[in-house]
This record gives sequence, C-alpha cells and structure tokens, in this order.
Amino acid sequence: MKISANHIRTTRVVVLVFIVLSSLSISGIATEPLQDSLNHSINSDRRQTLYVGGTGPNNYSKIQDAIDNATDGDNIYVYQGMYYEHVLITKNVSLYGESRDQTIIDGEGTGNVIKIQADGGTVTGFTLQHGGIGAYIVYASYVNIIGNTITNNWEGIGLLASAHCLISENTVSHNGFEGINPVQTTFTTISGNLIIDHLQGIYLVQSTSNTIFGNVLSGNMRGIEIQESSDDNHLFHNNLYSSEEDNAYDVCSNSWNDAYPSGGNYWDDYTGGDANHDGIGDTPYNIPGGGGNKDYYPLMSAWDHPPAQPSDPDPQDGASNVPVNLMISVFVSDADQDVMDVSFYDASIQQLIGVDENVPSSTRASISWNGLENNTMYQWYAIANDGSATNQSDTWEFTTGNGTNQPPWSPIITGPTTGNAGQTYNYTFISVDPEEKYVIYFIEWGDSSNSGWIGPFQSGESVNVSHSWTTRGTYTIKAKAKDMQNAESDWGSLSIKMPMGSSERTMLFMHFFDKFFERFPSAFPLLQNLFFLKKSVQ
Amino acid sequence: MKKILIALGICIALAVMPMTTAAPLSNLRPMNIIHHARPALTNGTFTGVFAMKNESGYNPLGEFSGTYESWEWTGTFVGTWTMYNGSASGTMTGWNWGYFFYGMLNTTGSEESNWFIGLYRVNTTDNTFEAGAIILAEEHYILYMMGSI
Repeated sequence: MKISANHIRTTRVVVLVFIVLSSLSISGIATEPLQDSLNHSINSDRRQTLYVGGTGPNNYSKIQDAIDNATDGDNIYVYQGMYYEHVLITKNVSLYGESRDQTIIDGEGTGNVIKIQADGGTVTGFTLQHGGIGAYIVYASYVNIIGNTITNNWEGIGLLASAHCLISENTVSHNGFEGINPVQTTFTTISGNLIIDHLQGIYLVQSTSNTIFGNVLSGNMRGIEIQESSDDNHLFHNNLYSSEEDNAYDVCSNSWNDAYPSGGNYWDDYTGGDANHDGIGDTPYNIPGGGGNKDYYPLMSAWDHPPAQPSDPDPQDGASNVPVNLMISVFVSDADQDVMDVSFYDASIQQLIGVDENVPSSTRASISWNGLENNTMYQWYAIANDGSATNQSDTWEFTTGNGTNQPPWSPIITGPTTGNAGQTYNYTFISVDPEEKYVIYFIEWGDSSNSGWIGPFQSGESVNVSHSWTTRGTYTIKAKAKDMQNAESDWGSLSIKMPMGSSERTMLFMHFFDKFFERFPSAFPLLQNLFFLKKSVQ
Repeated sequence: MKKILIALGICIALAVMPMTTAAPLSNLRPMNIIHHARPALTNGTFTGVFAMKNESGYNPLGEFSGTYESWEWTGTFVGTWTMYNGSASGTMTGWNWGYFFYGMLNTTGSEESNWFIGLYRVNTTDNTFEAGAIILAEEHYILYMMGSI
C-alpha cells in the first residue's frame, strides 16, 4: 500500500489535534479537583476562632467588635463575664459562651440583646437578659439557638419571616410578653425548652409547618397560643402545667399529637380516664379557641424528657498543657429538672473514669481524673442519666503537659466572729483561681467537723455555708480551695468566739451555787434567814 | 257608671299584676342571694405605654391611661391613648373576663373604630401589668401594653 505525502500530512494533523485535545481534557480534569482542593484549603485556613474577654493578648473586649472583624464561617468564643451590649449578627458566625450562667449579655433594659439577620450560625452557652427581645431572628434561615438562659426581657426569643431554625434546650423564663414568638416563620423546630412565666409561653402568629415538641410550659397565662393563619404545625410531647387562662388556645388548624402509640401532649387539666392503661387518655383533649383542634392521644403522665446533651467542658476542647492530675467537668440540665447521674468516659479506651451522682439540673458535674501520662492527648465524653433516659456529650480532647497552672488563692472567710453556742451562723467563702476556672472548697469548722469537698463554684463566686457550734469556746474556721486541675490553695482562716448559750449559762450558774454551798455549808441557813428577815421587814 | 267600673277594673288588674309577678320571685330570692351575691367592687386607675413589634423589635409608640371597675372575674375599663409623636389619639372601652379582655378602640377625628381582643396579667406584688391584644383592623396587628395600676 502506498501512502501519499498528503495522507501523511493529514495524519500528522489529526494526531496533533488529538494530542492537543487530549492534553486539554487532561489539564481540564486535573484542574478542577486542584481548584476545589485549593478553594477548600483557602476556606479552611480562613475559618478562625475569635476570642472575647479572658486574658489573651489579642482578645476582643466587646462581642460586637469580634463579629465586625469576623468573616462567614468563623466562630466567636466568649469568655465568662458581663457584657453590656446589643449584639447584631449580619454574617454567618457562631457565638459560643464559656459558661451558660456566667457569660451574660445584658441589654440594660432596651433593644434586642442579640439580633440575627444572617443565615446559619449558632448561639449557645449564654444568659441573655434585660432587653426588648433576648434573641431575635429576622429574615434568616438555619439559625440555631441552643442551650441558653433567656430571662427578664420583654420577650424571650422572637422569629420574624425565618425558616428552618432550631430553638432547643433553652431555659426561657420571666419575660414580659411571649416566651417564644414565631411570626411568619416556617419549618422551624422548637424542642426541649423550659418555658416559665409569660403572657404566652409559645405564641405562633402567621406561622406554618413548624414542629414543636418536648417542651415544658409552666406558669404562663396561656401555655401555647396559635393565631392568624398559623396552620399545619405539629405539636406533641409537650408538658403543659398550670396555665392561668388556658394550657393552649388555637384558632387555626394544627396537629396536636404524634399518632398512637407515640401520643400527644401532657395536659395537667385533662380529666379523662385510661381504661386500658396504655398511658393515652381515652377521650380527646379539646383545645379552646374555636379551631376545632383536639389532642386525640393526650398523655396520662408527663412526657419524660431526656437530659440535655452535656456541654461546656472543662478543660475546653483542644486544651493543651493540662496537668496529669485534674478535675474534669461539664454543664448538665434536664427540662424536667430531674437530678442526674453523670458518667465520664475515657473515649480512647472506652473506659469509665467515674460517676458524679445526683447532680441537680443546670449545674456542673465533675470528677477527678488522675495519673495521666505527660505530653499525651486524651479524649473524653460524658453521659447524663436522669433515671429513664440518657444523653451523651460530644467527644472532647486535651493534651497533657507541663502546664503552668496556678493554685487558687487562699479563701477569704467572712462572717460573725462572736456568737452563742447552739445558734446557726452564715459564713462566706471566696477564692479566686488565677486561670478563672471552677474551684471546690473544703471547710474545717474547728470543732472536728468539716464540710467535705463542696462545689464546683465559679472562681470569685461568694459561697455561703452555715454552721453551729454546740459548746462555747474559741474556734478557728479553716478553708482551702482546689481547682479543676487538683491544685490546692493554702488554708484561709477566721477565728471566732462562742461565749456560751443561754442554757449553758444557766448550767454554769447552778454549778457555781452547788460548789459554793458545798464549800460554805453554813451559808445556806444564813442566806435563808437573811432573805426571811428582809421579807418580814417589808 | 260603666266608665267607673272599667277604671276600677283596670286599677284592680294593675294592683294584682305586681302581686302575681312578685310571688315566684319572692320564692327564688333566697337562692339568688346565696348564689349570686355580687363580689365587692374594686376600682382604680391604670397607666402605661403601648408598643408594636416589627423587624427592629419592640417600638414604644405612645401612652394610655384610664379607669377600671372590676367584680372579681369580670369588669369594665375606659381610657384614652395618645401617640408619642402627636399624630393621633383616641379612646378605648372594654370588658374583661378572667384574663381575657376585649373592646373597642376609637380615634379622635375619625369615624374608624376597631375591635380588639387580648390577654393580660397583673403582678400584684408591684401592681404592674402586661397585655397583648390583636387589633381587628383591616389588617390585623398586635399591640403590646405594659404599665401599672
């Protein structure tokens, strides 16, 4: 076969074009993942945590300053303290409070304490107080308000024209008007909140397709009110107690149960029976308001909420230079206010570290963890158990090292320095931890009794403890503090005098006369005559 | 004579009428006294501010004051309201039943008047109150009120 020069030229061109096209497609294929990887890398690098409060050299002093300097996706960690601010969030950032009870944002009686006008983001671990609205979500989606205490505002949590938000495990109490007020809001979940003392606990206005479950509503004028074309909402497993006017009031069309056997809500004014003992009332609970709504499966006993997920770990997640002997702690709460047993686990080997028993709701559980290896990373988690349900925390980690942890200062003891035996007196103990962490106290009363280790308490918090001494004497009250890393303070002391109680004084008086008449037996008739004579003269 | 007889007949009929109506009433009266003894009247004054909520939050708009009369679970109130910016003022009249109240808002110089229904609560330790009411205007809106009695 003969091959012409033309044919060869054509073949070369085709091959060349093929090579060019191939290399183009290869470079195209190769470029996309590279670009994705680059973008991901850049985004990861850009995401940062900004700190507010605390003692770090670059920490912000105001939450709003940190937000203003943040970019989408950033986290803002706020150390405990009182922040007098009206926080406005207009970008996708999350706020994490160090301690729910001690990281407080105060609106000073005006405005919104936190207003969120951006999609995404979480607010957790704060007390929001003394504002118009504690947390106000406006024209935003996928915002989470989780694990906060929201109190003494005009309104607890407001939502306006928002969607797909999560309002969960908050304590919302003593706000003037509504506890939680969704307006024109859809596909939002309101669950596991404790809602106490409002005009309306939850007030839905022009809001549809929301899910409201597992909340406890107590002491509100109306527990749940639904008005103004708020349809297709799903409400179940809520516990409604002692509302002055109505436990619920619904003028719209909504579903008030989760079908059988899951059931509806618990109503403390339900009067029906339960002949088959399945825990579901035999007759529906009629919901006033004219909407013709009924809870077809009212619960005969209150829905038992599981504990909230343990949170706010100490040491913080990712902490380093942690001592090899330390105390670990978490914040725990339960919507039913049940006490809990909190188990701590070493996540690396799935081994139980210890259990803190009978921990009240909305306090910290703690346990000692000693004998760790130096320069080693440890992972741990906690499980809260209220007797019928459990909830496991996230897994956190820290690295041990030659930390520079300072022990707490010696406790300062104040209280009465004189008094009477048999009476009870209050004494105040304050210790400051240089790392501003939690401390526990051991008190010796000087009469061979002691308090054992009590706490944990916030560093600098006044701790009041009472005691009475049974016999007179001079006593020295001694107290020491220990931080969560097992560093103990020196003893603080206070000397007190307990002269004598009234009964003790009478005993002493009688004892004196006994001894006197033993020593001078003739004195008794003498005194008798003396008094007789005195009487006859009169 | 006929006229005298007619007049006499009317007089007798008028005289008998109250007796016949009074007879069953007198039988019921003891029960009425027991079951419908009117609760003691309490009355007083109230004053406060009202606000509306929008995307900014709560916006105080004006103030109101008035008087109330209450018989345990039911009562009446009348008052006046004024916008802070002086743009409008008017009167309000209403009734309460338990913690539920309803009534009518009027605007001075306008023929427009709107019904409202709402819920209130009173803190008896410091004599303050909070109330929220839906105003049934062409477009419904919610007014928030707080003040003292």
